[in-house]
Amino acid sequence: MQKRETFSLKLPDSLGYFGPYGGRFAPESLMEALLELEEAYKKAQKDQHFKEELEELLKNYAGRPTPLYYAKRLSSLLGDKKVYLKREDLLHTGAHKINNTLGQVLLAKRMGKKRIVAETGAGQHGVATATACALFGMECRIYMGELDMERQALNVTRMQMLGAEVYPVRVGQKTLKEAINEGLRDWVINLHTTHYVLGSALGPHPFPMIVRDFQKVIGEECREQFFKQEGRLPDVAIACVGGGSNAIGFFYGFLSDPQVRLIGVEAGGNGEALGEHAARFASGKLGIFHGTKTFVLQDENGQIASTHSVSAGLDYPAVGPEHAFLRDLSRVEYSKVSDTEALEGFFLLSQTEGILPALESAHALAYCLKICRKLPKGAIVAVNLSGRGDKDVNQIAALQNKGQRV
Amino acid sequence: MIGRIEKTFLELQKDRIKAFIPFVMAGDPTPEVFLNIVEILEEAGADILEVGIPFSDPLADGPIIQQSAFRALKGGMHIDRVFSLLNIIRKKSNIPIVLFSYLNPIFRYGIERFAAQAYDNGADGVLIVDLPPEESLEGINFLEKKLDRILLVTPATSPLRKKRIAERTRGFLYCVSRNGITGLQKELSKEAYELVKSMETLSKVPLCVGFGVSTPHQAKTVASYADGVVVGSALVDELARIVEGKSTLEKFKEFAFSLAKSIHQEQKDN
Repeated sequence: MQKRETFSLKLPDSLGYFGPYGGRFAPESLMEALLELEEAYKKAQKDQHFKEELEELLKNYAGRPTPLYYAKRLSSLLGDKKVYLKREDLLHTGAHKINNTLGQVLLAKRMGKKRIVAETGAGQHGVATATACALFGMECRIYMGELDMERQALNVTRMQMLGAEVYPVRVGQKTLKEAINEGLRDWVINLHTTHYVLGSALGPHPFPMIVRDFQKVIGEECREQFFKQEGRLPDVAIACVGGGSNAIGFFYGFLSDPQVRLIGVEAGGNGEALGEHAARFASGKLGIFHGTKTFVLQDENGQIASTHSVSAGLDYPAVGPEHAFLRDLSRVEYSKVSDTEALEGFFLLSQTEGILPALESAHALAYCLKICRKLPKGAIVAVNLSGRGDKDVNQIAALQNKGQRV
Repeated sequence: MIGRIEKTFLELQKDRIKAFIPFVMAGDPTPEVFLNIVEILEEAGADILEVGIPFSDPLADGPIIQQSAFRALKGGMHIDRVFSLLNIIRKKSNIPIVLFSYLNPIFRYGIERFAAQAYDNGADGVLIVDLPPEESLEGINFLEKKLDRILLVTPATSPLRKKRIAERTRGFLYCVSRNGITGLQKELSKEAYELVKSMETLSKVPLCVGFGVSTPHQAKTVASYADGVVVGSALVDELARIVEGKSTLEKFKEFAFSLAKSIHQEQKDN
């Protein structure tokens, strides 16, 4: 096996910073809960029993390790390139989100909490949280924007069947951003009984660290699989970036391998204008939102902008702080693809490989199609297929009926 | 030279009177009505004015203040316009003004630039909801020189952090009455009283209680143990009713007077 260079990143620092990004910009009413969570997490990390319990759950309940699949037919369309898919879509509940919710709910149980709240955009984090709550017998409330409840109706029903209460958020643009506001408000009110399971590598410290740590199993596993299956690492690894939890977990396995080019793909939506996309690195400015300092889509007065993406899971105005730092270090490149390109990616994978990808993951695929044209022959590309597209079929069918080019 | 906030408390304390601190959102529902409301509040006997800078995602606020912020934003309110409004108030009034804001609009404006402009336009203090004392940003030291930076404690704040916050806050200490967000409540929790008692030996500045003080009766109770009472949602709710055509400025005025009266009549029980 190839020797690993150490990528000297021991981040975040003790105050929750990744270089200049991150931190804990929370209202006083949340500060003690965040400090309590950080303490509890540090203790859990050192506890062999916690580690073993989580590993056991990931293996026998969630279905890890997930396969690394060589997409032969797709590859054949792209010239002499090899495309591999890391199949997080095959996990229980259908996306990578369960890696994090099992970890956090287990942690909440150790902290003596009886109730869980969470936000959800596409509904995948909500379903994964509701699932973990059912498994541990915890009360569960999921905040979800009303617009997202419409476009991800299937996941709403799933959460309800799992025993969770889905609470519609009718404020603002009625998507993920507002759902997080409402979830945090609930947490402030119910601090003593409740843990807030944040679903992405976002928010005030320690969340970006905790979520990354629970997700890094994706990249670590994938790295081993490449050595076994290909005898070498991929040349390029691609993941979609909303808040950025699947991407940070995937990239983490390869950070110390400089030969692996890492690319994060944001939602380019319908166009360049503010409000038409969720490409924070393309036109966001440094700001402080939902407790963390990072790139934020905002107007010239510092008001948070509305965003658009065909994919509810990428439809969010801020990007995880560690991504901002990895971009500064030039370790990860960030790009974007449009709604239309993502839909093309969705259909291509569905019809060449028989795999319906989530619209979020379809962004990573769409970028893979683009970049493969530019790569040399024999190049190996890894795409993190973060979730399955079952949740999206109604929405896509509706778009087709409306006559949109899909 | 002592600032307006300190001076106001010194004068009030001489007569053992508690401070009435109303909160209103700048520009809600319009700049004109806002200025009108400020005049009414002062006439009613407001001792310090808390002026909100609207933000799109006010996560520490309940529905009443959220809607207030959205109305103000819809009317095009932003920091420079808030400063123009302060300037107009200052031409007629010497009431201490505390700006209440979330961090991002100030960060985007530039913290030093904000502090300098706020000071020049007559602001005395600033309370930045999502900037805990542990976080430092470029320009914050300058801001703390220009303005009294008011910090908060809540019933959940640990003894260690209470001490640090009490040492750092300027002007007054904002004691949050409960674990929660802003908004109305039927009954005041005992937590508020216990919080104020726990801060008395730690704090050198006056202790003011806010979040959820909804009626003159509740305001009177809080005034029996705190140095000042912040009333936000109850006033803003009355304002929202005016916007909806369900109330009048006359009624708002009556309510403000009754709040002021119940706070000012309550003398501190030593």
